[in-house]
Amino acid sequence: MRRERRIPDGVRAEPRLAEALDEWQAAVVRLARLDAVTTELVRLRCARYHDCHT
Amino acid sequence: MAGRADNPALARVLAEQPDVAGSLDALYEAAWSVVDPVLLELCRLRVAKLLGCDDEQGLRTDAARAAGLDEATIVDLPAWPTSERFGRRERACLAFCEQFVIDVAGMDDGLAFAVSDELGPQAFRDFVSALLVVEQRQRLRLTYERLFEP
Repeated sequence: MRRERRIPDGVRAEPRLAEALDEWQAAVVRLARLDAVTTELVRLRCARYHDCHT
Repeated sequence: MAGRADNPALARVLAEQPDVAGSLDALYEAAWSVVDPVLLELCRLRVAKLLGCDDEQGLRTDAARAAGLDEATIVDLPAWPTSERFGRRERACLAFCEQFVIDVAGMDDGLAFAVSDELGPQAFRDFVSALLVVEQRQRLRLTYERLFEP
């Protein structure tokens, strides 16, 4: 087993791609037709499915 | 680069959400601009096969074709673990791609380091981000098609 991090500290996403990801996620978050509680439940369900602890 | 024009379901559903539609187009373009287009095209087509996205399987990305990806290699894609058309680099990325689609939480170090060793850490990071974009866009397409256009 290798002990190092899969992505070493200091390696950042390519700026154009990182900015585009941020902008898309922000646009999705700004959508307001779905109520906040349902949105949060879906977000948490997705996080659990993907084993995402952040 | 193909945008909503190659994805009519997305175009129709997002017609009333120009911010989301525009940012998704920009994101898709950005993904293709930072990753080897041949690798990403092979993964895009593999994702399409695994998800059953027939329309995506029929598309070809100009950048990948220009970079040398030929139709014979695409035909051989289901046999990537054994076909001589695929080298260590392609196999590492396709193995990672399949696990990413099927169960991303089950991704182990072996699959991740195989790609990182082949591409280097920076390109590995960008590859994962680009793969996310390609995969999620197809899932959106399928969801919209099945939900709204049965």
